[in-house]
Amino acid sequence: MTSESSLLVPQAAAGDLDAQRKLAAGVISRLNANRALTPRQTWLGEMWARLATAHPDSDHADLARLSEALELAAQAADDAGEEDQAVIYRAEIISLTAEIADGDSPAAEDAALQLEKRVAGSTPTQVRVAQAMRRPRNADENDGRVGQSTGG
Amino acid sequence: MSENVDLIRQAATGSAVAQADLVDRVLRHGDAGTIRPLEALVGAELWARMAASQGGVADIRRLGGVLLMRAGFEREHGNTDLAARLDGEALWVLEFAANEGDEDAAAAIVSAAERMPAASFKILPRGCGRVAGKPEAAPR
Repeated sequence: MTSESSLLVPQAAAGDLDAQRKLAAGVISRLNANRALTPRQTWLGEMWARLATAHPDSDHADLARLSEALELAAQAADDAGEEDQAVIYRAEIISLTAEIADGDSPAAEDAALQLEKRVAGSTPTQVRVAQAMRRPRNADENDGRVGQSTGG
Repeated sequence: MSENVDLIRQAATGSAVAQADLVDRVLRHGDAGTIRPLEALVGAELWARMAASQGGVADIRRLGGVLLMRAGFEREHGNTDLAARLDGEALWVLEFAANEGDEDAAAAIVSAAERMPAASFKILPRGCGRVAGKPEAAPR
């Protein structure tokens, strides 16, 4: 944990959405700078991003950040030969993108375009999985991880 | 809505009790094999850090325990440097709890010390002048 993170964690723990966002963005930024990602590295970004989306004041920018974290997780899963996991991550990204596109946030129009591209580039299975993913935002009903996917 | 959904929302809005509960839940799922061991440990560590930053001495001890578990996992998988760093932080966290009068933490230090390689005692984590947001803490 970086020293900046160690200062932000108590704030995030106390329910400060801004701190949760900064932690997610910080990890994602470091992951983006790292060309050799592993699932071990991407889980943390995914978890912080999911935590922010669990906050009642979260917005579509938090969903977009989660999508970014999931794309990194999907890439790491690809690199690790975990194709099934990558499919699940990308299906969730489609689901999140659709949610953003359905809203009236400034990101909605971009999300609609992205969604079109993603669906065009996805297998029918991915699209079906995406459709089946219902948010309850961020909530995994089966375990204590913050999230819907089965990991990475 | 499932119980976990509620718990995660409570955790996101600052409930140390929910965060501590999630530590135990995610570890149980790791033990049961419903999620992978490392993923469970990473998740547990995140919840434990959150709970320890604002909870009581039991939450701090719990963080120490999770760090020891993760160190053990990493050592088994050949990541000895990371394991030593995690052990070092775990010892420091447990010592903090022991100094707060937590006898279980003191016992955990003794038990852990019997199993740890010597390298773990030489390493203190960077920036560990604070235990998860407890600014008054300082390593002795």
